[in-house]
Amino acid sequence: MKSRVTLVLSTLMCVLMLSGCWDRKELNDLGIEMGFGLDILEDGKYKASGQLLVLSGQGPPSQGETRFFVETGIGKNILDAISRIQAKMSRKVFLGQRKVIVVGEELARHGLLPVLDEYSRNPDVRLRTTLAVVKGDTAENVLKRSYPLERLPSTGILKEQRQLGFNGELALFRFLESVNSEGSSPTLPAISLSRSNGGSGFQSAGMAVFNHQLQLTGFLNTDEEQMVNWIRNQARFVTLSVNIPHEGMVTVTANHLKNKIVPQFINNKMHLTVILKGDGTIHENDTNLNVGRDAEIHFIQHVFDKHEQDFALHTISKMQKDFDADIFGFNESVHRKYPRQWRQMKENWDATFSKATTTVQVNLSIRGSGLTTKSLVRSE
Amino acid sequence: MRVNFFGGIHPDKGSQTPVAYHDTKLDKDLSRNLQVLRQAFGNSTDVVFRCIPDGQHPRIVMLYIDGLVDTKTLDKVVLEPLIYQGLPQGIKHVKNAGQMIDEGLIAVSDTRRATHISVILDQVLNASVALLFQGQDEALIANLPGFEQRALEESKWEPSLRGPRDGFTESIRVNTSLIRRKLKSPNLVFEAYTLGDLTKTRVELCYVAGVVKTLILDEVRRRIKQVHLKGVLESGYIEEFLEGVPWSPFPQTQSTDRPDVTVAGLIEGRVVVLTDGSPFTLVVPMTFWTALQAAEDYYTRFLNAFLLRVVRIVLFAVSLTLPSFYVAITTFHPQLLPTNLLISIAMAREEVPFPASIEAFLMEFAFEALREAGLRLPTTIGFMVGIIGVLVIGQAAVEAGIISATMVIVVAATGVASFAIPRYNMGYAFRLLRFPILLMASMFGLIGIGVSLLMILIHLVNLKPFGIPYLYPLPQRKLGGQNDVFFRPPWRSTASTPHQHTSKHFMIRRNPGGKHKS
Repeated sequence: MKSRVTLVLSTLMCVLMLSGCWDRKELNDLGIEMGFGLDILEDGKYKASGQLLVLSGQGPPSQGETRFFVETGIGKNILDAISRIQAKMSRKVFLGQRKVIVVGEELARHGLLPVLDEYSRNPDVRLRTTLAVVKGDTAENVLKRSYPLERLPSTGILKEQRQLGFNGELALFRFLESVNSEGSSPTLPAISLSRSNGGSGFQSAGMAVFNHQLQLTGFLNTDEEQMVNWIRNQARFVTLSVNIPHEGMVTVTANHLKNKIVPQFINNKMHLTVILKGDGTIHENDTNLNVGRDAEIHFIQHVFDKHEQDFALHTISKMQKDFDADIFGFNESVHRKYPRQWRQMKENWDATFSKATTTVQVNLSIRGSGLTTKSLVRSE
Repeated sequence: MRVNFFGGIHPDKGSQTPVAYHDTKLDKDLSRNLQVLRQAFGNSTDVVFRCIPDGQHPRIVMLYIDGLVDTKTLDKVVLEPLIYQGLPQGIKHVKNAGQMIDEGLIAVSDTRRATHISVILDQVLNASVALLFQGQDEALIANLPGFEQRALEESKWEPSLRGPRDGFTESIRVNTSLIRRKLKSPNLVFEAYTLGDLTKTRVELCYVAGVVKTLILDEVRRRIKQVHLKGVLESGYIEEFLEGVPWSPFPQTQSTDRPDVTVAGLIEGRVVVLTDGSPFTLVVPMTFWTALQAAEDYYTRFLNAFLLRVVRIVLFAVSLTLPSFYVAITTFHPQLLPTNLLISIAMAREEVPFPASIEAFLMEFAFEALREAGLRLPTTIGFMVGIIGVLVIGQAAVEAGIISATMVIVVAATGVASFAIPRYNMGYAFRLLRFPILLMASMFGLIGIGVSLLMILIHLVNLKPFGIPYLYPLPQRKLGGQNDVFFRPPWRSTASTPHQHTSKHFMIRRNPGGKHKS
């Protein structure tokens, strides 16, 4: 009995002590990286920039202030560049809290394939990270920007996405998902440096579209981005402003968004039916319409449905004609409905997609009118 | 004296070797008897030999110990009649002591005759008066206890807002009466034992016949008979003999100084051990969940009790693991923390010279030191410890950058949580276990915590004091039953069985082969 206990205990201690997996790291020895940026230089070398927290410093930090600094490294590939950063750091770079990765436009046009490998390989990298393309600038400049609203500037990028109704945290995950889905073209949110407020901060700049080689092919504006996210069912809410003919502008915020994509083969041609639904609340009414009345609500609804239908068709056809890229996830719907035909189709899905005919049906139901019914000013 | 200071090797040369008086009988000659008794008491100054010369014959000697005996009553019922009135009228010649009792000559309810010196010694030491008569080989013993006693006070060990205010005292008779007053059943049985070679402590076993499980009762009897000590000064001496697994950090007997808690245990079919000289009774067997059940749970409304239980369970877990989780997460898994929390912790830790684990050990030790120092000091100085603790550890150490503020918060929260455990002896167990878990956490992170908790769980599952599984009534065979673990069922629904542990529900499993002998 006693010898057995000794045996078990000593075996346990050996297993625990000799395994050599000592990953204990004091917080004082970690450099916490909050944001990370990648650029490509003219000579083809990569430049990595890390936004790191400065925890120590002279005296206690004043209320709410967090100091950060950006360290860069230049290397032949991504990991080489990252290790150059580590060489300049007295502390181990800790990636576990990284919230944001930004990529300069140059590198995005060059291709993200070499970048992605590290992200899918390194266990320290969390999948819930915002990955964004810097439109018209370098990643380093974004990371160096201070942002008045957030203690940590890079979290500002994430939170801006959230305010627009998109789940910014899932950008990296969805990008990887889309890369692995045959026929689909991945997208990333785009940001640009903001010129307002004395040149601090950054702003959302629509959507960056990639081809299958993960090269940036172009940008969509924010309205189109919103529509794409609606069709993909990745928006939590959308804000729509529509001009009612002869009346004026009405703004509706819609949530409970739903999508339905119905692919059909008609005469060996692909036909896609997209049905979009949502519950709207009127947030601004610059017209004389009395939104307390059913008939006028229906009228507004009708105008909105028509307008959004046209806009969705415009967005889809833009992707068909200008980009040849299915960023909407139609390929998944087709795959699900025609699994057998998909095997032949997936090779040249881009061509099939760009030739496909589409109908869009928007059913917006306006449920709320805010606190008042008629517009206060123009009431007659 | 708790330990023989000289280890029994070098006895004091001046001391007399005690003489055994097992078989010595009283002599007819009073002076010889007195000589023997004086010698037996070693001429101790508190032993009083009061001679009452009554004419020529018969001479009477009263023997008692000053301070143990109620002298006022003694004077009134024995001394005064004998001195002023002489021997009672109607009986001219009182020949022997027995005759005096038979004729009701002494107005004391508890009287008896004794012929052996040893019996007289025992009885005199137990607050009796011995009356010795010239020419008689028999003595009259009258029990007249009258020593100073503490009045009934509120329980300090388990105070409660609502509920009875009386607590046990040091006198076993008072304690048994407190139990009897709450449990007016002829089935309530007391069994007396005398333990301790020198202290001759009276120990009473108490149970409700018909409710108690005989297996438990026999086991308690058997274990009490194993107590062979020179002195039994507190129920804690017996507690260790009652435990089946002495090395377990978990208490296997529930000690309480509340009569209501004791009686609740009796009703549940438990056995209670009372010790003279100690206000603490032992309720056996104790199960793990007893530690969650404060007396007040049963006096407040069941919904309130439920809230308190939930709070307590959370604090239970906190008091055991919070420092370990803090150390494990900050040094092994910082990615688990929300970013802003991590930044706050990291900033607080920036100036600290020690690793988080050392810091945690230091603070835990400081906290235990403060607690111990505050407890041992007299109350007037005791609060100074608190002030020093607050100033030195709470403020100066943080400002000097020796300890991080977050660690102070963690240790303080752990301390507060550990005070919320209703049974103090379970609190000891948790205090003890906190350190090995902390050690494992600082070496292996969350895995270390997981392994230690698993080992504790394995131990708990295997622990069966008195054959009752320690985690009883969990795991429950029937889902949805009321078990008084997380939720104290409303009284309405348990009308016939007031508590969960009626004897038929006890699952008796003796330790196979008596593996853990006490």
